[in-house]
Amino acid sequence: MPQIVKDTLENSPMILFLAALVIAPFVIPNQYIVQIMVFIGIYVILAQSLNLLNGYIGLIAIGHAGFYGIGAYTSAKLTVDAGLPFELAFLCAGLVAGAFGWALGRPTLRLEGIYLALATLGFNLIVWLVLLNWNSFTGGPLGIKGIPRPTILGWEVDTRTEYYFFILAVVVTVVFTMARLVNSRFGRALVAIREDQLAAAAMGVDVTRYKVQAFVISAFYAGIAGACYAHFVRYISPDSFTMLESFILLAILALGGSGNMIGPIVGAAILIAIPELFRAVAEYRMLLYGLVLIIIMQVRPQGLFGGHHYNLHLRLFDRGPRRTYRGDAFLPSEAEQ
Amino acid sequence: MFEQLINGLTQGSIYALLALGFTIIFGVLRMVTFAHGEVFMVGAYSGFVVFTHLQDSLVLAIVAAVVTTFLLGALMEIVAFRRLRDAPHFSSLLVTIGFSVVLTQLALLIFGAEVEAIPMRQIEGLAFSEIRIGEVYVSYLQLSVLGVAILIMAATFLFFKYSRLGTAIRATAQDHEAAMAMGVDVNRIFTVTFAFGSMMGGIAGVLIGFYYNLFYPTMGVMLGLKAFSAAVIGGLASMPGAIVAGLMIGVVEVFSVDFVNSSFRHLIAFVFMFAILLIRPQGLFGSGQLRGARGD
Amino acid sequence: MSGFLEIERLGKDYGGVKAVHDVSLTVGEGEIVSLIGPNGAGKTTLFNCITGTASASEGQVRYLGQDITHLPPHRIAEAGIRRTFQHIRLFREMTVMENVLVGAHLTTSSGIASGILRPAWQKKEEHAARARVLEVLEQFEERLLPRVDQKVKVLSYANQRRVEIARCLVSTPRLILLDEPTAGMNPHETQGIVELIFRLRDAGYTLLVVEHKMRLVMNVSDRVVVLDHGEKIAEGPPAEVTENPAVIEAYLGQRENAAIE
Repeated sequence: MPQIVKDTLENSPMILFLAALVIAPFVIPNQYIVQIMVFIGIYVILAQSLNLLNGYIGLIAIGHAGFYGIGAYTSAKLTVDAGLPFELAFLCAGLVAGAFGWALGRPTLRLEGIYLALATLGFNLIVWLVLLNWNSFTGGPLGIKGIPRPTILGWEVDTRTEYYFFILAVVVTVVFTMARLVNSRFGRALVAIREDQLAAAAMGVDVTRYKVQAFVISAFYAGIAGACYAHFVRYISPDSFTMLESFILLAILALGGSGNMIGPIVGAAILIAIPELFRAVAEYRMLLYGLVLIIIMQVRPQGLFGGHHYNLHLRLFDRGPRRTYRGDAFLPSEAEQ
Repeated sequence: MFEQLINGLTQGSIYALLALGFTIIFGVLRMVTFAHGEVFMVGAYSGFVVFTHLQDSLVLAIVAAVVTTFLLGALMEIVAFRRLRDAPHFSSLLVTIGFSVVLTQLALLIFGAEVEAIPMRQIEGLAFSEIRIGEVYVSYLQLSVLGVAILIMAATFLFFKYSRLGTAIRATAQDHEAAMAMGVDVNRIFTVTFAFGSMMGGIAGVLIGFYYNLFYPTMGVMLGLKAFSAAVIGGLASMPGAIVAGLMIGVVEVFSVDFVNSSFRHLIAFVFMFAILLIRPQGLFGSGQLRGARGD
Repeated sequence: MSGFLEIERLGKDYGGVKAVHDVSLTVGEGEIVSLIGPNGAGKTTLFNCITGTASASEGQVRYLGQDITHLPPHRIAEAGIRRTFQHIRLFREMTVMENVLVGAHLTTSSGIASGILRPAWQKKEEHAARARVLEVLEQFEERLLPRVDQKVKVLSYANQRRVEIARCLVSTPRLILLDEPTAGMNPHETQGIVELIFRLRDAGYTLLVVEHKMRLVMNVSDRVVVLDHGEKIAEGPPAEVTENPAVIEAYLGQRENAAIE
């Protein structure tokens, strides 16, 4: 059987899933559902971004909404005030957030994990305070209105359904790049650092450099998510980027399980959809997220998909070297001492 | 000028109290709790409810806060830490974040999002009676806040230095296993410490709630974070460090009003914290051990 | 002999406690030197100072004439030194293959962009690295190969030690520091490690070994260095060192710790 057929078969669940996502808006022409799917998409990007830190390299970042907000405001300011084309503003959202990630990561990543946690939370708060109070630049509590709909290489993304396809494309790109990244030499170094920083260094991994790089990449993706959000709702205010937003992301990772590609997707889908679909829950949305954080840690600390091999990933895009031993038998695992 | 200083110290003593609770918990359990600001809020509301519905006595309000937050602290320790002792630290941290969210949401459900205040007729005796010290007038309330804060801090130091339980806690802070080998019930110590630290947050909550006469569900968010900053600036596990840094932030904030936009005042603590993290990550007084009340 | 690894008057203080004091030692290329001594003699501390895990308080470590004393661990690894750890430090959630691939970190070069874009050279590099890992695992006969895609945390203790050694070998370092490579192994498994050490010597590796099992030390070492209380008390060929009164004294003092077989 040719390789391409084998890969296709092996990946059939994922291909079917993607196909379902593509035809979904035609089968369910409900605008409200489409809107929920867009939000899920945005949170998948955010959760994947945070997953790189919390899941793969094992850094405790709890203020991710800071980068999300910076991305949203960057793209909004650039399109509304500077009149930049969407494509450029979108990219800048990621780059600016990445630059902030560098500025925050460089000094704090040398320190123990707990300091990083505090620093990221403080960063989130500072971003929020600045957005709220720098009236002349950010519009203060009123935020920025009239953010244009995206136009991508001549394609005007007008309707919700069109925006859905735009987000779907972004999500697929993010998941694809992330899956490849964590399944490369780079990703192995990240996981090695998570597992044993000292041993990783002894093998020649420049731990601080990798931490900073992972931090910047993660911030970049969060910034991209911010731009996706800003151009969808077309009105942003500081309240969308508070610490609560960061905590939602933590709940998503806790539920889905971090350190793999599937967990953040499932976590985002469940936690974003539930309050939207069950109106009764909507009012208690944050309560739900808080309880998820407490209860999941008691009953299944690794989350729904945690504990799987970390590179549970999308084989379709990754026809890399795979099965490595062609000997007679794969032996059963040995009991630990 | 002097009045400003008193204002700053009053505000700072609250930060110090909160930071102290945080520091004690970190010093012993080696863990950060992110629900400290919300425990503070719970303390404030407990005092508020007792004061407005039972009897308008500040002492009773403080007692109410002490009881609720002590129990809440014990519960959180068991759920977030004891049950997760073998899990990665991150898990405990997430649970405390979960608690912070849940507590805020519960407060929202019970009390609503609006700011509540104690009716004037109940609090005016405390808030508007002033005494003169030299040239300046200080309200009873301000005096009570400062007085209680100082009292609690002093009591804490004495407790750690002289009581049996305090000594056991210090021993546990230095070396969990050695303490266990010496017959200390480490689990109990952890729970008591957490409850104790939370209680200090609760007292701080009552004090500041009455001081400004404002009670709202998110009142602990900013304060909790400033207390973290104070604790980091002081050195995370240093009790004198937490107090000095807390007072310092309070005073600087009050005096900064003349120089910076008041809404950016809140940034001062974080800017300090980042500066400290860059220059001296172990903090002003830091050494990594619960310091300051040691007998030696 | 000199010029390969030279340790000069090395000292390491831990809050006033001298874990290592005034130790000088040279290792020539192709030599197998064993480091022995009672528990707490400072052997692992010395290893940590050489590999940058701990920063020496005084003295100097030179490798191929280059001063590496205060370099961070990854730079020392770049210089061509690899080590194993007394208490196994593997990447527990990673497979055998991945663990050893991390060992090849410095002999591969793909980064962020190439990791995402996967140009032809990246794929070639990845294939070559995996082939190289299998080649190294072959050294351990059928112990590791069949388990190459298992997480190391499910392996037996002895196999975990083998993975640690494989993780060092994969980058063909010139100097390998083995910290109790046979700890927890039975005599048969220990014999396997002895044979491996001989093969490594024949292949031109230089080894510095901390070991408690005297039979192994006597068997494989070109030279033995004895530490006690952080100081070097004897050095020489195996047979000579065991006759040394200071060494006998040191071991008699803590007989229960000296696992002389």
